[in-house]
Amino acid sequence: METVAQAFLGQRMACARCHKHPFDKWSTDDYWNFAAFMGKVGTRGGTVEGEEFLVYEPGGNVINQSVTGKRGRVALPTLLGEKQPLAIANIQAKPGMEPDVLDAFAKWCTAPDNTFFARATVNRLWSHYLGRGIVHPVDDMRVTTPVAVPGLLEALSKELIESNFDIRHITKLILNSRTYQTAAEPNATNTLDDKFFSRFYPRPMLGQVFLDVLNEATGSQERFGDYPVETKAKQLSLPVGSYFMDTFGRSHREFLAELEPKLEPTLVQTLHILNSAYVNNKLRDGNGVVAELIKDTKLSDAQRVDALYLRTFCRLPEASEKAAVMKVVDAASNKSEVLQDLLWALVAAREFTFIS
Amino acid sequence: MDRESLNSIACAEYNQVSRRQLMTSGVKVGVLSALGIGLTDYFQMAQAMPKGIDSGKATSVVLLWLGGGPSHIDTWDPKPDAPSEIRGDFKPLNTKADGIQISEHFPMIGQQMDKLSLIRSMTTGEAAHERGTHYMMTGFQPIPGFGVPSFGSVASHYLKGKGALPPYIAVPSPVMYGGAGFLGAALDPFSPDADPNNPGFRVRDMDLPDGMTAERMDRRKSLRATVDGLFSKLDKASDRSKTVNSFYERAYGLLASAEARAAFDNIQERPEVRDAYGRTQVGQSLLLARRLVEGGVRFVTVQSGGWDTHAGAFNYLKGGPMPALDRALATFTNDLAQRGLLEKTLIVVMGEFGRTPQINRDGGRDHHARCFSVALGGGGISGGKVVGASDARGFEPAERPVKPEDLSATIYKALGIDYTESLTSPEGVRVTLSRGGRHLHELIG
Repeated sequence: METVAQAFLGQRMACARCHKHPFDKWSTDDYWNFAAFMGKVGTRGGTVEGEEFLVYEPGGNVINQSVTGKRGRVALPTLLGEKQPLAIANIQAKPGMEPDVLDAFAKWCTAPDNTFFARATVNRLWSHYLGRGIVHPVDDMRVTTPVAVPGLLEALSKELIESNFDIRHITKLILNSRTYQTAAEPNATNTLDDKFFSRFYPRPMLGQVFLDVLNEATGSQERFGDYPVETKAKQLSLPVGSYFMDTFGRSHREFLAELEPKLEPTLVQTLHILNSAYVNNKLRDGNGVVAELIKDTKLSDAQRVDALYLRTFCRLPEASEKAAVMKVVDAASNKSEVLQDLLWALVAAREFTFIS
Repeated sequence: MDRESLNSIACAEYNQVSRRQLMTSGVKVGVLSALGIGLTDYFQMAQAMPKGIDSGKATSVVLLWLGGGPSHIDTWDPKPDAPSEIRGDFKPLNTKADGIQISEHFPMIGQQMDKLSLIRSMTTGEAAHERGTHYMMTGFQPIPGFGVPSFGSVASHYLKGKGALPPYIAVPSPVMYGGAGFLGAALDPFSPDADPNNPGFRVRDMDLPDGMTAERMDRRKSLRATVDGLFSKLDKASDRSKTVNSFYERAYGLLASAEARAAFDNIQERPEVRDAYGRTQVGQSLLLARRLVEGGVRFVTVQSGGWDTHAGAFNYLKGGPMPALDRALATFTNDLAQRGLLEKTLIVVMGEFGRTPQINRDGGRDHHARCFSVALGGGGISGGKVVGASDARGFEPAERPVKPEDLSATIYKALGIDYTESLTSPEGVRVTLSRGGRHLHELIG
């Protein structure tokens, strides 16, 4: 229940498990009565080790275990914010089955007057594109969390509901907005802002995205587990072991406390880019971009440098950059190595690793 | 499906010793940096001589974090005269310090009690793992949406690192809320994120990859400076952008220093020494901590989990965690003393809370934050003392309640940091280092 509440409703319920939530309005009974929706969800092991199935448990229920409140009693499924338990008798049950309270829960989430789901959803979408939620953190939308831009959340939330929960509609709104398209370069008036979106906040990419971009830029193919060869890191629905992705903040989605990916730089990340065989092998990949450029004997070194810039920064080098780089390239006896080094510099540069 | 006991999903993360973290190499990046926002002039400030520091005795801290919340009654504060449902299975043992008894399962630590002291009246009232951890790792109760810097990050801010090693290191991985909060990612701990007890333990990416030479590394470094020049326009307003470059500098420094890198190699110790610490995670981590302290690291956290004993506590504790801790901590303390490092190295041993005096129906104890114990030593702390006392049942402080603010003041005092100083967050929130706490005069100057 805590996961559902945090992921879909932007509510961190955990504190209310034992006692009244210190920062929000939820009582322990609220917690347990909401948890009661999961009463009939059971698990059963499968034939493969670690395999788990969710099963329907007809007799299942949840016992209120709060320290205060209705301890010891069977918790009655109650929608968040409602005073009365769900009228289960009114739910149309399938033949031979008990009334499906989870279905009622899902319908409640997407009801037009539901304040939680739509807001949490647009907040997450906003955060994904702008780097920070309108409410921050994205999954902690308490009564006491400040809202950075009053009215924005409600407006977007309304758009989502009225479009019948069309994510693409919201995405279009956000991406076409002036706010999203504002430059990252700070000026005298907006340098200190970090929460009102008066400029674009440069930020690192998600680990999976960074790996994909790195592979594309270097022309390196990477196979993830047993997935088909063309599968990109961001398409992986099940986790595949990857030190790179872990180091660059990929969330393991195991613990509620660590649901969000971590986008803070670390020394470990730097060491990995700087000095790992893994990254170095992408640069010197026999089928990679440097190898291809070397093989094409019609190209001049200057053209190769341009090609690498385009491949990574999506622009040509400025005159001063070009001059400085060509000096190094011309002085090198091993062109393959110097171009690998240049490619390293380009993918290690913040212009590459930051979204701006 | 009835879920009977309180030992359920909420605590599941704390029951296992961080096996998952180690197996999947999940990097726990500097943790709570809730804001990660602009400290535009911070880096300039950090270069200037920090005020608020005098020549304190300790130059390093090793904080041994017993994750999960160790039972105070079963470790540092036995209650032999309490009824059986409170005193539990363990008996007390006399120690080298007159008048101090600790658990029978800490016999080696007992022999070091002349160097260690106890607080038995620690009190926080925060009996939830995350809140309790935050309070004990920073000296502050959690403030929603605000990243309070941990002791390690504050210490790194005031005490410049010596040599090429990062000033703040977390072994085997960072403790929750052990990060830099509003001080910025540059003061988060560096972590090998691997168990030094593993035979293949290496801090990754410290050796030149195949085909690379030092000359090429230099060339790469200078090319990067060239191509990244344009991006520096954005530095003014991006803390993270500046931090990345500062990490490049640090990384180059670390890679250039063979001596610094060697500090991570427990394998350079004689096998007898490694055996003396114990071939356990906590044992090899404390050995590594000693090496890092010798290498000039200012603050090391050593994390040892599995203390959240809601069920079947006694067999579990005496069969594993306690003997491992006993050997590791005793050897560590003694080793520091033998090498003349004890005066300069403050040792702190604690968890997020203690455990209920009343044993539950699963043969364990649940969370208890009203009264628990902390062990301290070295760094100018007087050994062989007990500060405060719990009541006859170990339930409440009977005298001298000590809050994390006071512990905070004690740690900073030992390091020679003026704990009445404040730090200001980027939005202008001023936090006084120890938030009104006072250092424990019974233990330090």
